Amino acid sequence: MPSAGGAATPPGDIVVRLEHVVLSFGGNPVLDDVSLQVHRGETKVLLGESGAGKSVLMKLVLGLLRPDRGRVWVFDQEVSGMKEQALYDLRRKIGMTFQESALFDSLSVRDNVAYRLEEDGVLTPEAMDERVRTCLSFVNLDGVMDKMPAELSGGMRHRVSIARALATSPEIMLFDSPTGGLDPETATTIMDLIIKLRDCNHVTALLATHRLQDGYLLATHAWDDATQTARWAAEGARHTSFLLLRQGRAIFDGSAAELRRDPDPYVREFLS
Amino acid sequence: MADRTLGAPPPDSALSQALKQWLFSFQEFWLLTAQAFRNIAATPFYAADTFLQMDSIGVGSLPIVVLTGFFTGAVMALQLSATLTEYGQIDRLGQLVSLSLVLELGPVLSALMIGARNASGMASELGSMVVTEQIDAMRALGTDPVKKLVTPRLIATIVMTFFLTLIADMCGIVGGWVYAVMGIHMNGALYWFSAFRILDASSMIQGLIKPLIFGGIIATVGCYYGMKARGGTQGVGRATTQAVVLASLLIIISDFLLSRLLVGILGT
Repeated sequence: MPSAGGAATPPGDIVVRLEHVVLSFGGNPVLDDVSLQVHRGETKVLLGESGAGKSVLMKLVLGLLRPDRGRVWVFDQEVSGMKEQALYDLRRKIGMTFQESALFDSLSVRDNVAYRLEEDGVLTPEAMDERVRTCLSFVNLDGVMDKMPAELSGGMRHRVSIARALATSPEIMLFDSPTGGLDPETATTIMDLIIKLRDCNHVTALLATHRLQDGYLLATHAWDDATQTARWAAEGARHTSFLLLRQGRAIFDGSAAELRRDPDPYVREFLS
Repeated sequence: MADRTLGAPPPDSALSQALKQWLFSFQEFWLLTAQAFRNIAATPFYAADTFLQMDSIGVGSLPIVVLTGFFTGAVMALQLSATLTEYGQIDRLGQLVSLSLVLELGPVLSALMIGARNASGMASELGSMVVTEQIDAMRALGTDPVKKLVTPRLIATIVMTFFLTLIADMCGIVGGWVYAVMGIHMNGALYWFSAFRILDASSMIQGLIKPLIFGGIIATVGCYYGMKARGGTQGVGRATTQAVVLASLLIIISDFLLSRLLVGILGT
């Protein structure tokens, strides 16, 4: 199982921070004065309809986009002010899965998962294969190492994408709509993996989704090692919080219980 | 009007917006080109990717370059032979064919063929990677896509365009010889003697510098349009077309400028 990247630092400190971030594309505001904090070991669920700015926010955290105004901090480094070359080193501590998986279609599953390991050039080919097998096994995908991405189903591609992100034991994981377009059973499998990653590896995560049930699943379930499944657990113990975006503005930031109690009409409508 | 009295800037006209967009694209193109060249000396160097591209661009383009060169030489011999015979200068057929091929037709036609095949290939391949977020994924995994994707293509295209042009020149001269011997029953030895006697250092240098520049144009234009592709499959298609059109135009224009420059430096 991939090891926990964040174990060396004490829990509770802030690892991701956005301060009054504003971003527009071609004059259209995509994010408008958004601020948030994610603590070590916490999973922040970014909720909102399509086009609310969730994916853009994830890309800002990774430095793939830069804000027009405001600042983005990751591990006490200001991502929004860093040069691209410096960002490459920082990104090695962050794993991201994309909405459409974004697997390299000319590489096999093995080469996709081993991509960053090959780039680092530290491990021997045998050690790399072992690491790839471990990561694929973590996402319940054995025996697909030699397949090409085109031969996999949507759910399998999402899982390979998670395995690829986990290969170097990142301290932060960014999941962009990991269950989008998947059937309910596969979506549950993916969510179980994310819960497993949170509870077994204590990885800090941001998860963008428009599916409220995914967020509630994270907030109400914990990984049970004995049965190797996610099971219902007391709410509040799962280090999961929510940020609701509406047309680029953050209109709610808090726990699942607070979200359910929020009187804002849009929040009520979103929850209904 | 109210905005103007409040001091707001006047809205951009369509022409001003188009000009700004063009200048922005021009700047982006040169930034990408500069970065790609700078990466040649940077680490890590993706040798395997470079050799893979050399195989794809060089070996893949070989048949079209051989055919283009051969038939260009043959058709030149065909067209020139009638006029040269009329003036009693048929023994100069070889030198006209070889000089035209080495100086102009070999580099330009090879570059146009290589460009049509590879600028479009690069634009569509990189464009597809952009629209499917594979480039973002690469950046997310800590890899510089310019270093990994653009620089190997740039090196491979420059090197292979150089060698492919040499092959095209040779095939063209052979094509002219085949027509001279079989079409007008000219003495083959006379053709070869005439063809090689005219090629001095100046014409060889001119003919060998051009493919290096043309190779750079093909790779940078193809990669630039690929990397800036937007808007799904339609955007990739548009990027591919634009890459071929611009690469072809730049090859033709730069051929004239280079010829003028090299003639000025090296003499005729």
